[in-house]
Amino acid sequence: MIDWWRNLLMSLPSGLRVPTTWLLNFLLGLALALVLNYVLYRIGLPSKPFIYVAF
Amino acid sequence: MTFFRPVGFLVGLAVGLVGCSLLARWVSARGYHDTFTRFHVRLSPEAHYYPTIEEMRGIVRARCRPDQILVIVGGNSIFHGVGQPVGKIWTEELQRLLGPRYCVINFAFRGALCTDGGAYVAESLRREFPRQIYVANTSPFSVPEAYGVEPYRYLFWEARARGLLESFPEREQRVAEFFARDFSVGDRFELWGRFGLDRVLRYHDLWNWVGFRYFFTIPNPLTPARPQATWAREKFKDEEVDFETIPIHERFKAESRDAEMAIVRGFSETHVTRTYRGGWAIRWKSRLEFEAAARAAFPDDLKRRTLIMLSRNSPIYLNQLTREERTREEFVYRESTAAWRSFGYRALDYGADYAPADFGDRTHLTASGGRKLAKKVAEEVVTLATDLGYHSKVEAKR
Repeated sequence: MIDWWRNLLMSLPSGLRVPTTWLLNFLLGLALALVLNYVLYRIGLPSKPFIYVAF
Repeated sequence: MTFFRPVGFLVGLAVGLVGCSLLARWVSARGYHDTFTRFHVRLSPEAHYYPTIEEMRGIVRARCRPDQILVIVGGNSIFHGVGQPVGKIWTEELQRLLGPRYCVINFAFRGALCTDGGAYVAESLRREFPRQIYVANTSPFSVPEAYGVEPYRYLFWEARARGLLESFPEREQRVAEFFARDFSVGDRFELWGRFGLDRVLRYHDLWNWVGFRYFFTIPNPLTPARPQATWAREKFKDEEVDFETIPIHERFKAESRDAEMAIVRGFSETHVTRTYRGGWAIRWKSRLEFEAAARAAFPDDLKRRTLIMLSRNSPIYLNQLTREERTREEFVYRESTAAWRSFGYRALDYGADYAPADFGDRTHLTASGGRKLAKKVAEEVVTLATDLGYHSKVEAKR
């Protein structure tokens, strides 16, 4: 996978390689933020749902 | 060539977290429940959907104008309207009776206390909607814990962590005692981290919105299998059963009579003791526990806008009490009402004169019972609004 990205980036014109790397790293950060946000949401929920019983 | 750019990555991470937080704040503040009636069973903790305090505040903002008198209904399944389908919910009747000068929102939850959910929303909106009345039900000498009850207690911690609640000594003392009694240092740290982090990042607000509008990601017993498991929660309509379609003999089954009668007797039995003159007195433990909690349940300035309704049981069971038990029952309701009033709350009971057909089971009301309740609450709300100076007596009669 890493080799695939490396080859892809190396195939770009030299002037585009650095900004594209920055952009991809930025997008990776964004994606991880979303995943982190979701994980925090899930671990904050009780593991078992509330069962309502009327008294 | 370096393929990993830590600065770019960290900027992306920061932008992502800030963006999620801003988006969550924006959608929650505006409200996204377009056809809100109440938090029905598939929009509740029973279905792993935990409405957030901001989400509830957004519902109020979307539905009510600041020039209306806000009436937030809290309490348990009785005030939620169990057994009353959409179109027959007692709070809809309450809205009809009060008219367009009032805005009624039903934030009652099944199994909640009078201090849960809606109470925190109302308190948090005290400046935005200064003309507000909070109505909730309870049973005699039931302890109104300032921090609510599970599974709805998260709303208290959430509102508190976000600085939305008033700080006053009685409640702080109560919370401190709760911490000392039930929380280890680790539990406190977890609570602080959980709600402190959510205050900043707003992940519950964000994913509730996604779950409500687009797709739900939490498996739960009510929608265990796909495709329903992942459907946006807004696709599920409020499909409450209608008690009035069930014959009365099926609502009150003979095999559950003894268990129900034990509960009915317990309403008064657990709180009284005999006096040497043969009368009744409230047990000191019941009274002290109630008084300590009632003092801390609502801030002093909000107690007088709080209407507490004490729920009665069905006459099908009450009529089976002995004469002595009936006397005891009346005594406990009278004392409980007086106890609430002694702290500055408006309090009264309802249901004593209801017919068997007004109840769907021992405690929940049918649509006909709901209409009677709505009438009584509407009268009391108008009187309270007048007393609080929300409108004049002349306006109240219009």
